[in-house]
Amino acid sequence: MSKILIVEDNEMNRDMLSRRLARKGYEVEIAEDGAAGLEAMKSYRPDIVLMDMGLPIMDGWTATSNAKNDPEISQIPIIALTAHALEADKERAMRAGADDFDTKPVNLANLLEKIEALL
Amino acid sequence: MQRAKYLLFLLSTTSNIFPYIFLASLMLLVISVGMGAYYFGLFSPDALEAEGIGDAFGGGFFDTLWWSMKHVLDPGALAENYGAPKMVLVFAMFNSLMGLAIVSGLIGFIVNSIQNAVEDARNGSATIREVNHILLLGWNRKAVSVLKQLAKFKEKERVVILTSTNTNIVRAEIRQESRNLRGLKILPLRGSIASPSEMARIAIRKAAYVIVLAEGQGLKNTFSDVTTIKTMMLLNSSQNEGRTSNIVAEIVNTENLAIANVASNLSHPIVSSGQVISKTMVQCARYPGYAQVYSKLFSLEDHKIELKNIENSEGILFGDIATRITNATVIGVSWLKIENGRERRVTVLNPEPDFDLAEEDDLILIKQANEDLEINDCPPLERVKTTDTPFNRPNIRKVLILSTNPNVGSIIRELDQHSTEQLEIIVACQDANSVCESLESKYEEIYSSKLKIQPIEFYLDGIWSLEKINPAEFDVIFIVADESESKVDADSRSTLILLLLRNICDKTRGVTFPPVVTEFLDPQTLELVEDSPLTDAVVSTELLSHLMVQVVRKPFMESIYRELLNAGGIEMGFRPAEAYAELGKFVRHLDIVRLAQCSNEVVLGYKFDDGTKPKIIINPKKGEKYKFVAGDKLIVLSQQLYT
Repeated sequence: MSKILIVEDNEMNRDMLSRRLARKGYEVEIAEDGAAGLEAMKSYRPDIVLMDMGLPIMDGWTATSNAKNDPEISQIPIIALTAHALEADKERAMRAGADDFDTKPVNLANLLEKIEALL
Repeated sequence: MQRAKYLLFLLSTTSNIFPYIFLASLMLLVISVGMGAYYFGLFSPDALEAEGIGDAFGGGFFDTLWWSMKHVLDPGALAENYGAPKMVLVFAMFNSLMGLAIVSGLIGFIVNSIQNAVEDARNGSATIREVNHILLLGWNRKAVSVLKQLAKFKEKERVVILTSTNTNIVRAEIRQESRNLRGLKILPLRGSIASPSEMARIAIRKAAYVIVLAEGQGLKNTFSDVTTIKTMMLLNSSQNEGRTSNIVAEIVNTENLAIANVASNLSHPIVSSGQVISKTMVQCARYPGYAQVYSKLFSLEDHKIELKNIENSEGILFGDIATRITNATVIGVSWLKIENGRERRVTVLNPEPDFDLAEEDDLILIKQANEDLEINDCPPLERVKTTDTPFNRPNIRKVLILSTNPNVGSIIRELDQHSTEQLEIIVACQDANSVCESLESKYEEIYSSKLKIQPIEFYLDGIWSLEKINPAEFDVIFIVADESESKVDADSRSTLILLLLRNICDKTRGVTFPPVVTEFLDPQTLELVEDSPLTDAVVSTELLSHLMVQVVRKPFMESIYRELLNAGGIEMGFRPAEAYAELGKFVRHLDIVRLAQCSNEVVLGYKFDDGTKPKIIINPKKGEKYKFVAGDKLIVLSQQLYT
């Protein structure tokens, strides 16, 4: 069973995505901000991370960049998720080190394809 | 002597029956003294000729006692001694005068006791013997509005109010609104809402619902979150010991929200009134006309929001069931989840149409109050993959805030959270420089390079400062309820500012006037401002009372309110009708629902705008047909996007 870490501050988005992924057979762990996400990456060792970009305490861009610069967790693939749908936002996420990018609302079939491609 | 005085003081202040014992003792003493007449010829032949002196028992102890006692209790008996020896008359006079004093004292005490008992009952010192009653703890300007909301349920509820406010004031305010409170049995009691003994007195453990309002909120903003926090701690401990009630509490200062949540152990929803008002005002700025939709959606008049489990729902897609239910609008899904050993109700609004339901899932529905659900077998939706959205999302860049109050910081913070680029805010009020400095020190974290705040000195009697401003420069104008001045109440002040804006609007005809969002405290003020550039009026007392009454009756509503008002996540917004239907032609609601699902939107209803007063329709039936004109809007739930 693949382990997915969802880093998302919005409770409803978090509940919805975790529930949908759990029903697809993934083991899901949650973190509510960028800093907690980095800690969870180290302790939980997920197979993949779904990282929201607009996060409190430490935003998703910074958390992604920090994760990719940390040899301990740099190999964990990160998919950036954001409601900021501009091309510039995508470029910024990819520059921060995200392995892929998806906009909200999530199209689960598309997201699952991206997850499976990175696992 | 000093000791006797002290003893007298002690007994008179600590014993309720002492005055009666004292009077009885005094009466005995006077009767005893009066019996001394025996030695001064009470039963002499001369005396026995008087009408009021008799020796039926042989002229001994009992006749003497009877004579003396009669004069104490009946001063009129004095006249019957006419002809008796002078010393007997002196004793009779003494007894009669003392008797007058004692009887009047006794009558005084009795009247006083009755008055105290009546006063106690009026002030509410009674112990409540109710079950499944509603408790309203605390009293402020929202309380009457809360009672009005409760009365709308027409369930003959019994409401016990406990407050430190004088119950005469509470009664007077209730009496003013008595026509709107029919069906409620209201018992106002005076006492501290943070006292354990008072909690026992109002039968807290037997209450069905408990609404805690911030005590003491008045013109001078003298509300106390500390009292609410203490009350939440008490409620929490009482809930641990017995049955549980639905509880909701109000916190005025958003900064106290975290500690209030700790006090309630996250077991009960806490509503931050400042946060709700500022978030609603910002949503109104993003979607002009939002306040009217919001109040219609969450009022209890036409429809209700409820949870409904559908049999054999395992694997059914949200989008399909949403189109198959013909007389209700499915807005989300809810389920119970065990988290950290505790059961939590998860509420999700506007899930994707391909969200697959589990058997135990409940649908969140908007439906008519007394209608059963009608589910038909319409074919599953063919979803069209959409990659982009054709609508311009609201993006606020320049804001004018007129007047000030404690919510201005929250409004700025909220605007900042929705903003994707440079945000410029002009704060126009009295002592604007110091207001902005205080905001900067208090909300240091939101002041970034993205946010620029400028003060403008503005007095009601100095309208020239307002006339210098070009309204067309702004994306929105906020007028907040300013209670800082004793001369002008907040609503009058806001009304005057709206008049000034109307004047500017008249002078600058042809210039696009930005949306004007105003906070009012009294709904009746709305009638005064009909002819003004007002776009949205947030009546904070009504908004919060709606919210608290809904949440206390249906706790899952708290997360719906929170989600709809927060930046990020799901929001309620408007979409141009022409993007979903051909203007001037009838279109079935079901077809619009299906089309909206392709953009991951739930259609709540429509806003028809014929240029006068917009008409709002919420929860239309799927089979109903509508003809749209330019300016008509769909009211939708959608994911907030920043494009």
